[in-house]
Amino acid sequence: MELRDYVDQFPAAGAEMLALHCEGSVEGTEKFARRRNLGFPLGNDGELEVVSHYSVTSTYLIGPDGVIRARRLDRVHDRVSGATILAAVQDLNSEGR
Amino acid sequence: MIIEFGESGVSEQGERPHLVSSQCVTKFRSSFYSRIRCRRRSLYITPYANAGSPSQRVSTPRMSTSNLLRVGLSLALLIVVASTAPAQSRTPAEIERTFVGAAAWQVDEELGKTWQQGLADFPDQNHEPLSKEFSDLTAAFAYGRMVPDDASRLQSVRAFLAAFAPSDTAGISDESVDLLPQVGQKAPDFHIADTDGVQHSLAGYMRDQRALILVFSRAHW
Repeated sequence: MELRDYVDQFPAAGAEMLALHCEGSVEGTEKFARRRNLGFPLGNDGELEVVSHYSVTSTYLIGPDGVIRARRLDRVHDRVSGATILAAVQDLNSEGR
Repeated sequence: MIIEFGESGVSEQGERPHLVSSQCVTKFRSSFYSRIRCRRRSLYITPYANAGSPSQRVSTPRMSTSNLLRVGLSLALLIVVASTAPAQSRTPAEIERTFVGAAAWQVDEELGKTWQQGLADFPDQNHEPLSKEFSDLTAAFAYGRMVPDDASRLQSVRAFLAAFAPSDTAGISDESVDLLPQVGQKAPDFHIADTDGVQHSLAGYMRDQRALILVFSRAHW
């Protein structure tokens, strides 16, 4: 299952998802989002304004307090699964956030 | 000095070649982070590449001392495989192959002069200093969309570093140093718009008491 298969489960578990394209143009990202109908917000960070403070091909779970609760530094073709992310969100909930 | 490059590869997605080499970059980064940390405990990296498309990067070669000075004590490591073919006639993969990788380290003044002097004798094609600074080499390489990923490039990097890096590395650890935001730390704030024009910020998610899954650059969504 791909990440977008979890777009309903993440909010139900108490987390929003924001995805950022760090390659390609703004227009390319917009075209991609329209074509794929992702179901979650996708932004273009081609200038790396955001990712320069994080890391490319990474996934962060950030709590409502702004503290990083989980982090995955992956390769672009070997990324953390939606199920694993969902489990991390559920763990966050079980900890009482 | 230890320089290791691991597995790497190239995937062409969208309009630009996207070079993929997490392991390579990590090892490359850790070696230099160790070195730099001993000097200042902080590191600012500026890649040498045009911010434009690959064809623009190749067709507008420039590396000036004034730009170096403009970003302060920016220091550089850059490797170029020159090509005389017109940029417009190249595929993204061909363009990528003409690139090696470049980064500049803003460290102390003494080391800065050393590196800057080294740059004067280094090939100056296909590179243009950026005014951006990155706290992470992974991002720096991603910005330039390039990593050293084959033997010839590695050899070039080795040669450059051997010539211009500090010779006294005593006491400098080569252990990996992870300077990325860690679990348990406050996440860096950000502001960015999505493709619908909706503004997103970490502060906004916090204000709304929502947890956030922040995902960068997946091959499959």
